[in-house]
Amino acid sequence: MIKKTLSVIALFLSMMTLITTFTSADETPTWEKGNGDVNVLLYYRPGGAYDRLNQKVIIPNLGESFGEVKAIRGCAKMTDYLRNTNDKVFGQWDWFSTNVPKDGAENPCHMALENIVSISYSFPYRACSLKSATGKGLADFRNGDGITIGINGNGIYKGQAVDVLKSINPKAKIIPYSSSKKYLPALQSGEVDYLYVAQQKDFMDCFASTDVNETNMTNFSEISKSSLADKNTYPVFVAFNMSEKEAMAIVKKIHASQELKDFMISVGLQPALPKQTQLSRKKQLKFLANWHKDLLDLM
Amino acid sequence: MLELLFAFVLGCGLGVMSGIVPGLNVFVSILLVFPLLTTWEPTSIMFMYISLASVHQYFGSVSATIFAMPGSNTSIPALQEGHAMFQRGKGSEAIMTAAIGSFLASVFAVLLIHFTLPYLTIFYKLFNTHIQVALLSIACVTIIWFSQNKVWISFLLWVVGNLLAMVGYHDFFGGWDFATFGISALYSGIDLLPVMIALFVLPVFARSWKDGKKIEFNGVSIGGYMESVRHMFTSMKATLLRSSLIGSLAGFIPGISWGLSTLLSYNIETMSRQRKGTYNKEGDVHSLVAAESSNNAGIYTSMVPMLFAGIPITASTALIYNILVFQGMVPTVAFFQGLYDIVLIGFILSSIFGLFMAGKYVNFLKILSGIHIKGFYSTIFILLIFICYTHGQKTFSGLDNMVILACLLPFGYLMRNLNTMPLIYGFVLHDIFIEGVYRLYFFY
Repeated sequence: MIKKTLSVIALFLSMMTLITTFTSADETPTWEKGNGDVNVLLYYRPGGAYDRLNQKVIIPNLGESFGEVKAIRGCAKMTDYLRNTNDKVFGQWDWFSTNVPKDGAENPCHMALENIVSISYSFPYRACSLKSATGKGLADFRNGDGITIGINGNGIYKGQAVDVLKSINPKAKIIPYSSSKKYLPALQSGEVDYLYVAQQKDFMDCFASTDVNETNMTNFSEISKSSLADKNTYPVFVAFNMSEKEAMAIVKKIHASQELKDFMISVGLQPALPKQTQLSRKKQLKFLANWHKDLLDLM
Repeated sequence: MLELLFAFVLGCGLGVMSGIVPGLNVFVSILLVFPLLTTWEPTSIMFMYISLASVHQYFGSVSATIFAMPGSNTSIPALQEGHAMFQRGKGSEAIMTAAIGSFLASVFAVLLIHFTLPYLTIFYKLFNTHIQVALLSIACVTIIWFSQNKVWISFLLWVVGNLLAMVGYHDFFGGWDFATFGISALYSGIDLLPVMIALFVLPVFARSWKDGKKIEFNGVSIGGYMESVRHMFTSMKATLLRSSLIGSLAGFIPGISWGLSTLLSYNIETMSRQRKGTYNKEGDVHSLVAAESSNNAGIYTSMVPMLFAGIPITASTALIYNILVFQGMVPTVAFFQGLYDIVLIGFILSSIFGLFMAGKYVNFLKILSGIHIKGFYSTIFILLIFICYTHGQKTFSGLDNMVILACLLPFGYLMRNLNTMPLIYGFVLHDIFIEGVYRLYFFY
């Protein structure tokens, strides 16, 4: 009886240890913590493109200043944290999608312009078909009757896509998907004829883009009347409890770094920053506010 | 070679841990070793991943069967049927039969893919919203119709599951805010773990509380495994074949993959046995085998879209894809096709490992025999609450999980005499089902 009791207690304790060890392990894929005082925010999915930007670009460029990654589930909780912390925090923010008003009221993920330091980089929208598909291309994209075009259906992405696409081909059916895990297979299976998204994979032929730097493709502004046809999407760097001078110094270092160029190539972008990053902070904020207003007017 | 060996050991080790600890799923397990993986060769990464995913399933079903601890949503049928068998002293049979079924289904999936390689593009037709919505509708209708409650009660539970899953802010539906009441913790929705503990595990515990039984558990043996194989080939051939096929095909469904394959096979088996009058309400081994074998077959086929089309269709394969990008790789289709052999070998080896190591682990748990079920459940329940907190606390939401759990527990107790599987599956399948129906609207 004593042996059994001891065995069961040992089992219970070992399970507690196991659970504590594994479930309290930091979910961010950063093992080492720095000795600095600038923390990096992470509210989006670990391992994704924005997290890779943290790991491969922001942290190396913070160097000795890097403190630790603050991982908090969801942008609303992260916003709460950022409003209440006294720590220095720097990071990437999906400003464009988290600032869509909620029922006319302020979005819980709302990020005030005063916390935005600069545009970080930009990613374009491209029109692509399946490489192996026959009869697909710009002419069919513009004139095809009843063609189906898959888009990222989240928030402002949908507003931008619908505005540009409807002005190009009003007869096209626009099909929203919530993630690349869904729209990439849809193109592969033939469920949609084209995609209008940021990703470009080796099984896709892309022939039009919103990015003026992508000179190998037709710019959407040549075929669309939409004011958004030559606008990419612009994520931003945000900073808390830091002086503008300190935050801008980090931004300048990141923008000039090889790490950022490598990151942009790794996600299928031209390693060129959008021209707006050359503007002063004040002008960048004005550009962002106008761009965002245009988007909201469409939604 | 040494790195490959280490990858296998690490994959199997993480598979064991993630199977045992609820909330530690395949995705989170990969994150734990993310920095290490970024320094590895792609072959080792794939070898580690497939070993982890495969072994996870064997141990996940053991924990669900014995401890009633739901490792993930795919463990729900094992908890429902396997744990019911455990309660009446048939835990060993449940574990051995499920493990053999899983192994045979793995072999089926490997052979199916291997011999249909030249025709794989046919399977890509399954990446289709119409087919997905049809399969999800079948899954929902069958879980409502055949879950041992009155149909209207099951339907109501399914609706409640959907409503709980809807809580949050939905960017995809034009910024629709549902029942967040301005509370920032609800903005990202409700975590699965508190819902599962309060509304699925608690009713199971509460139902058995009054029985006052003691645990009877004999462990497993080679003889028992052989007997399970014999049993499988004499009376479960159709179950195994059907569920392996469903698992292999549903594994291709983007977004939910083996989660849907498990439920579909389980529902179809349950439906078929209830119609024949052979379904055992106190834990049905056929339904358990259907779910578990389908699950393992789906794991393998869910890798195929990434290997042969360069498209990750599950969260964990997407993470592996991202790690390769992180390393600076250009993940082309040709690149992934070159990894097919290593994935095949890893899957076969880890399936063999999972089959036998799960048996070793199970035998260690024989010490539970003779323990009073009330004490056992009380301990497990404390553990689950602890897990629910620590799991949430990783992202500063431990307290949120506790509050949600406290709010849901009274409802779980009130529903102790109901089968709450429709509610849990309403919750789990909500996103993909609603999105599919919404998308169909744009097609017509």
